[in-house]
Amino acid sequence: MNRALRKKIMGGALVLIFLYGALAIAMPLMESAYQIRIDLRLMPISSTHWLGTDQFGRDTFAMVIGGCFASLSVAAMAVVIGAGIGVPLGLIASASDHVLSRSILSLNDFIFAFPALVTAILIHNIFGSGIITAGLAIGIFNIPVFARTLYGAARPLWTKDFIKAARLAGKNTISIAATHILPLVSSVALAQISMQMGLGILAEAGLSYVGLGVVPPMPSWGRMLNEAQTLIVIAPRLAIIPGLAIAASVFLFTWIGDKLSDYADPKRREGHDHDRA
Amino acid sequence: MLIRVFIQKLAGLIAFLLLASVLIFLIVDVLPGDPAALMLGTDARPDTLQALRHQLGLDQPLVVQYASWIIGLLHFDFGTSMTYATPVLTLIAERLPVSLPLAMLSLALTVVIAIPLGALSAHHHGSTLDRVIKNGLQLALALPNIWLALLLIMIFAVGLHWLPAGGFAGWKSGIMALKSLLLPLLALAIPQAAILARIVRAEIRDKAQENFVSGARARGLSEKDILWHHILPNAMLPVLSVIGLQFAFLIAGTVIIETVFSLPGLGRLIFQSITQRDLPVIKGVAMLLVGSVILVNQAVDLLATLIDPRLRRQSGGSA
Repeated sequence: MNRALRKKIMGGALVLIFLYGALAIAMPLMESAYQIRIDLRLMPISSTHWLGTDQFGRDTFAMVIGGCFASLSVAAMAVVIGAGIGVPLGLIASASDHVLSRSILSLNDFIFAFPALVTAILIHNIFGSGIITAGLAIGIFNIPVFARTLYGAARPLWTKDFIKAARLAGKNTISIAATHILPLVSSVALAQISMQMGLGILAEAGLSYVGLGVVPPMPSWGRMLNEAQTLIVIAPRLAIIPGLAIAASVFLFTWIGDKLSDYADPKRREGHDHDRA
Repeated sequence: MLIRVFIQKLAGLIAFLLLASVLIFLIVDVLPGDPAALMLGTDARPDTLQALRHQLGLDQPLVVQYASWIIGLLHFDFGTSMTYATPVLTLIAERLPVSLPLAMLSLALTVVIAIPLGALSAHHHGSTLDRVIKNGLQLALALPNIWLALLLIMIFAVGLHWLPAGGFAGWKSGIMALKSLLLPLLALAIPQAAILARIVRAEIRDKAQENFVSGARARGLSEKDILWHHILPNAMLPVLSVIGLQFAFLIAGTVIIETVFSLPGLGRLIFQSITQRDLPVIKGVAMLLVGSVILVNQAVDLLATLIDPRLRRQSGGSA
């Protein structure tokens, strides 16, 4: 990974962490804005209520900001679980013999049969609705995603000459994986992290819509969509705004993920053969 | 050789299904502690609790509980719902005529939209058309299907009055039934088709750079011929495995989208049983959903092996 790109990624990540921190600080400050206030119900867009209020008198702008915090929290938790387990699993599979790597890949295939929604339904009895259930359910599905991607990226590297040289130099498999393989596949992993952040936000919205995600009073984009549905005729804005927030953030993360994976695989890079990016 | 592959896949299928049933049993029946207390709430009387425990077989060892559930499953006995006092299988069977066509048709629609779009984009890569499609796909894949559903309702139900905003009058209503499923189908298929079309496009572009394509071109075949008879069949294999994976998303999506359109499918059943804490239904529906994803993915795997002899050799070698 070259230095300019690394700087960009670090910058992007810092901005994101800063934004998340700001949201975390802003959340308690805005608490009054998402208290139920029947006297303020369905207020139009104005200078006090930038995006109006909903049928319970809660400020839609504050709800969108709060929903952003919930979405990012769940998606990030899911990525930490998925990458934390999936990346080592993929690397181990790429380095190991037929039996072990086949078993890890089979395990991956098995976990793929548990979409986040089904896992959330199953673990709902244990954890109830909330960030834990949503993050865990999405995170478990993320494990095989990361494992498979990392396996695919790392597998061909093990037969390269410089790895053989490292082996001859007496390095063991683990230290080769850490010092030679991991740096080479880090851009692939980063691309997948960004992708899964986007898909995690989508999944969280679905879970919250059906009541398995974040619980009130914490705002959530998915639940906003649910609550807006009955008012679709008189206040369509209540359904349009949270949807736009979801689509925009998912677009941002998947777009960055795409750019990063273009970088990771120059063969696929758009405009590679005719310089049009 | 083929028979060996088939037996191998079958053994894998059975192993996966068994593993899934053990997991579901552990998560639903064992981990929460006392399912009877969970179902009745905290202020239940001890004798009612004891009676329910006995009725559910919770007073028996775990192995016996699991065995009786799995033996029941093998006889198509999914247990009895606590809230409806009806066999779980009957409840599922009542809802499948909505959920099954919805899941299958959305998968079909996904493929029908994605393959031509991806092929078109790849075939004209670098052109304005390609860039329009590519950016459109990037946008479409970011759309939450719930929101897309609401937008479609706003446009085609509330605005134009062409299609119903929800509900399902049953298949006997004929064309009306299809009309009720059209918006849910679109909401499910469009984002998934965007994901699939991107993969189709990438695979075709990838395969287009291989030697057999240059060979075909050197033999004087037309570009159209090369795309349809040489590139597409080779690009379809990885696409097939992605379609298998997308089935899991479509199953989950179906359950959610059914809720958006208040369709009387598995979605409504499962969310009702979550609020009622109807554990036999939750276990049964979860097993059905997971089982169908496993089944479809194994079938896709088998299909890929039948199509591509190279995979056959590979999996034969591992036996």
